[in-house]
Amino acid sequence: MKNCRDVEPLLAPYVDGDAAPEDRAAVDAHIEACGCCRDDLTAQRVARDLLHARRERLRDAPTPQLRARCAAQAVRAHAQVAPAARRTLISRQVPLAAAATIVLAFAAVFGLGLNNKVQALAFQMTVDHVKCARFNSSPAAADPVLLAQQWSAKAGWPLTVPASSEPAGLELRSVRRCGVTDGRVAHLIYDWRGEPLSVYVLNSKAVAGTSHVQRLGHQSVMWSQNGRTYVVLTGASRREDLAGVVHYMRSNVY
Amino acid sequence: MTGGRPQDSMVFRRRSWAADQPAADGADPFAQEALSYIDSLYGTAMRLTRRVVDAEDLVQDTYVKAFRSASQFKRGTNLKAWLFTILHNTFLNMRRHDGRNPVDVDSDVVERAADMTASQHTPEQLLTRATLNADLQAALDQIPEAFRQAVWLRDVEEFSYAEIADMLEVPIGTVMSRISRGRRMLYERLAKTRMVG
Repeated sequence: MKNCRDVEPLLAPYVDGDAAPEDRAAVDAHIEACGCCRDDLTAQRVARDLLHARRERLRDAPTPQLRARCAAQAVRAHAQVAPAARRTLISRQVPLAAAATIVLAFAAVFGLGLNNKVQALAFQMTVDHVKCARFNSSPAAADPVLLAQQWSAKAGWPLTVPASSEPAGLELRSVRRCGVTDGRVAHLIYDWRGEPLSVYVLNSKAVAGTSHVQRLGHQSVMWSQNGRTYVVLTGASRREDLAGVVHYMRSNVY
Repeated sequence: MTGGRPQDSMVFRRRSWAADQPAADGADPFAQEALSYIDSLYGTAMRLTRRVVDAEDLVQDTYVKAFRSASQFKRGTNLKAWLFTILHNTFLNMRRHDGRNPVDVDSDVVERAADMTASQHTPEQLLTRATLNADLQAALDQIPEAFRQAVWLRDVEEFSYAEIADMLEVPIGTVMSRISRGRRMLYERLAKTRMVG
């Protein structure tokens, strides 16, 4: 008969029901005579059953920011390794205005099932928002007129920058060029009741109607208006309130 | 597991299905499937590192390596197990840079753990009373790393013994032994917590 030391590794597969018939017989014979190993077997079964029962709740959940950062690695790796493949994919995209085309190309290469341009735009903007909104935000409220003038001078097309609004809970922090789109998309950064909120402005009409998209734990609303496309995006979960922000933006851009 | 073992110094050859052959709608099924395992990878990283910052770094590094070495993954094999192998190797590297050897540390703790007094609770009482997930998580975190990892991979992530052995590069008998002892240690930790509390 096997001793306790020999039996120990066999107890795990025994508890799991995975033990070979001869091992099962050996364990049965041993625990018949050994109270210690019998107790050990019971303890292991309790531990296993607990873990099995709780397995879904035991896992800590990754943050939306981590999800976005990991997702962005696919884009980066592809860009480094297979530029030829990337060019091929870009050429397959539906022709859009230049900025939108670049955005779509990145997202399509990335390929998370983003099979339409609304999803692709939302995805790419979400990645940019996670990367940039928090770190490029000024600590104090910014002057919308000054920022709009600076943008027009640099980018060559006029931009309306909605000012801070107490009723909407918005405080304008900065305007930057969205780096992942070659600087052709304006990125307006607001503080929205303690959370960063981004408004992206493309100098083209890229979507029809108004779309609501949830990606990587972020929600975005996008629409085209007067030849421009706007994407309001936040990681905050107050969906009903976002309608107020969208209304404010719609009323203050032209 | 038959997927190619990813190494730190990876040769970036592109001959795979992963990025060169996107699906008809432009989606990359490799990236799509790989990212679907982020909950499992992060949950495991948290149990390994026990610190949010380290777990996030570990998961992100795992994806960096996975996407860059996608060509080394063999289509049709277990992608989840392949990612966990990368996670494990990356974790070992992190530990090496910390100047600690987890196996040696564990051996000491295991010897001490073996002397721990047994619970006076019946298993049924323990099962009923250990209702808080936080208790269970805390008890798990007290188990030496090698045992915690083996138990977690088996009982939470439900890998087979052979997959775990391949992942950790240890004999299958060692995996069985670690799971047996790890489960027992978990039980004892829970019992001890309840006795004290």
